[in-house]
Amino acid sequence: MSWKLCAVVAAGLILAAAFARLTQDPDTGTASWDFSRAAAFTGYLLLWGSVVAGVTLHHRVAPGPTGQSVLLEGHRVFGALALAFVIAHVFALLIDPVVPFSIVDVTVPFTSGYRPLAVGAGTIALWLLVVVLASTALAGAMGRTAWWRIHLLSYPAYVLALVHGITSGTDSGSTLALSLYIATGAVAAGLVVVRLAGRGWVAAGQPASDPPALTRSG
Amino acid sequence: MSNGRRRFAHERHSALKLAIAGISVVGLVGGWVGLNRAHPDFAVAEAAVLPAVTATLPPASAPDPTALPSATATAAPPDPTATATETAASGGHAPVDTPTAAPDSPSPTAVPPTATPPPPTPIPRTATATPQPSPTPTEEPTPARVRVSRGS
Repeated sequence: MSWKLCAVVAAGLILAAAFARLTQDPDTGTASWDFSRAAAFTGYLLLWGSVVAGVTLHHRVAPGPTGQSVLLEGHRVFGALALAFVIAHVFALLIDPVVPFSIVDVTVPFTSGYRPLAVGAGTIALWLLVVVLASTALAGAMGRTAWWRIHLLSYPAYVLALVHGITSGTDSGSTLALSLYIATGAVAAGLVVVRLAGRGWVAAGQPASDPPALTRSG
Repeated sequence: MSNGRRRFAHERHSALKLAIAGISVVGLVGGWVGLNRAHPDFAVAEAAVLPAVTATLPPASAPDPTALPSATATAAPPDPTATATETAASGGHAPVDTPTAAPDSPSPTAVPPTATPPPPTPIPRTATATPQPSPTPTEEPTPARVRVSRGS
């Protein structure tokens, strides 16, 4: 259902962005641009939620199998929805009439004429997210270790998305946006540090390098 | 392996997924509307389209349409020229603030009633700490200028 939900949400968001683009004033309208920014913020928060849920899942702090299951499903749907919102963000950028982003600019890193490094970071994060989610979709057909190693790419994906948001976002100068980035980054970093520091005691009785059994499907 | 496949394909907590998706979409719409309302030209356009809003203002409010409560509620500087120059200096739109930033902005009565006079008066800065360039009050920030100055 996560993938169906992702597809439905992505389709709906794309239609909304197209509607905004078609109905906005050609000279003064900013609806598609604002949509892209809002989708970017939402996608970032969803990606952050997926990372936090994944790390927390490893900590096994959720009570019982049901709690772990809820956390796992949240981890999965957060990641899938993050991709849907990022797709909508990119689509809205492509159809925006003012900033001339091409399909190459948003799919090939460092080719954008506008802040190539910052936009490139976002492009790489997008591709890493695609790879991670694709590996999850194919998890049943690949080895556990291979899936786990690919899944670890979600960490650089999140970091690059954070860097992309801070360096290329036009709202990064605002207190609200900066606070959002700092707070979410601090929480994610703290959880990762706790995980790395507690590898020996978090999953007692389980090899530290192995993924939790439940994350096999996450 | 088959057990893992079965577990992977097994869908659970559909209500949770729908709730997360719904909250995300609502958040997007809210952010979309908030960002749109934060535009400086929104206040001007709103003043032109909805003059009735000014009729609901207390008599003490400034008669200048740029000093609409909506403009101050979104922490947009009352002077659209200042916003445009800030935008150009930061390379993009004016930073977006939510109503939580409204307490930083002065009350409507504290806003200088003539926000766009030639002598540049101290304009309340509520958005960023970006050094404010010298305003050019004679240039009205057309929406085209604001839009061209957008970044990513």
